[in-house]
Amino acid sequence: MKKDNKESIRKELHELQSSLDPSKDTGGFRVPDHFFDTLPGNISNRLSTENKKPAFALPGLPTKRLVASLVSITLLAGILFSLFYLQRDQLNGYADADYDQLMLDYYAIQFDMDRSALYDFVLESGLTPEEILFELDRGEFIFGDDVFDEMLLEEIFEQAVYYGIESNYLLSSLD
Amino acid sequence: MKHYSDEELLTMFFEGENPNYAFNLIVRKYQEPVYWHIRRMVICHDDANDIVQDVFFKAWQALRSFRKESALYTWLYRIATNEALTFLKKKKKRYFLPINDVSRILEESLEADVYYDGNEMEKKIQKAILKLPDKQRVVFNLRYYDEMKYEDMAEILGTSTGALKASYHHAVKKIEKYINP
Repeated sequence: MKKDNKESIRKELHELQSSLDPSKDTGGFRVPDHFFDTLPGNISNRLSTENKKPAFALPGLPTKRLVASLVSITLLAGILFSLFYLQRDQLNGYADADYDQLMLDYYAIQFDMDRSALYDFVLESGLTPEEILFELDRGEFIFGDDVFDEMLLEEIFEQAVYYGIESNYLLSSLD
Repeated sequence: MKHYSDEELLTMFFEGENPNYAFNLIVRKYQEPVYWHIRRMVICHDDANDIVQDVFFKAWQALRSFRKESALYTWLYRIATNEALTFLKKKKKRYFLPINDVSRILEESLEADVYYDGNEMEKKIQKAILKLPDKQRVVFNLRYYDEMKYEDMAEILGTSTGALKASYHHAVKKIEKYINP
C-alpha cells in the first residue's frame, strides 16, 4: 500500500487554511491488548467453521422426490403464467400505453420517497443554499469539470432539498 | 515475519500448495489498516471486530474470482467500506433513525467506548467527523488518517479524483468550522 506524501497532505490542508494536522491527530482509538495477535486466528477459526457447514439439504426428504416436486411446481407456474399473459393481451390492446403510465406513476412515487429519505439524510449538512446555488451556477465544484459525478451530485442534491430548494429548480439548473 | 509483496501473496494463494497459509499472510498484512478503516466508520471496537472478520471471510470467498484488475489492498478496502456502510445503514433501519440521530448514537459510542482515549482535540475532531454524511466520512478518513492517494481512493469508491478532492476539501471546511466556530 503506497501512502501519499505526508507533506502533500499537510500542504493541501494549509492551502485550505485548516488548522488540522494529521501528524498530531491519531484519532484516539485503541484496541485491547494483543488484539492483532489473535485476530488472524479468530478469522482462521471462522473460516474452518463456515467451511464445515453442510450444503443446503432437507433432512429426511429423498432427493428424487424433492426434484420431482420442484419440476412439477415450476411447470405448473409456467403454464399459469403463459395463460395469464395470453388472456391479458387479448383483452387489453393498449397494454403498452398502460405500462408507460404505470412506470411514470412508479417514478413519481419513487422520487417522493427519495426526497423524504434525503431530507433525513441531509440534516447534518453544512452547505448553505448560496453555496449550493453558486456551485450549480458555476457548473463546477472547486476542481475541474468531472465533479458532477454521482457522489457529489447526490450530496449537493440532498443538501439542497434540506434547505428547501425545489428539486425541479435544481434539475433545471443542472440542465 | 518476512514481508511479501501482494503479487507474491497472490501467487502463493493461487498456485501454492497451501492457500490457507497464503490467506493467513494476507490477513496478517492487511488486518490493521482494514480494521482501523472500519473502526473510524463504526466507532465501537466490538462492531469493528465483527465487521473486520466479515470482511476477511468475504475476501476468502471471493478471492478465487479476484481478477487482479485492481490492487489487492484497494480491493480489500472496497469490501471493508461496503461492509461498514451496510452496517451503518442497518443500524439506522434497526432504530428507525434519521441520520443525525445515528451520528448522535455514534458520538455516544465514542464517549462510552473503553477503547477510546483520545485527547480533547482528537475527540472534538472525531465528533466533527461524525457530523459528515457517511460517504464523505469515508473520503475524509482515507485521506486524512490513511494518507491515501486520490487515485487509490477513486478505485475504492468508484468516483472521480476531482469529486473526491472536492468532497475532502468540503469535509475539511466543515470540520474546521466545527472545531473553530
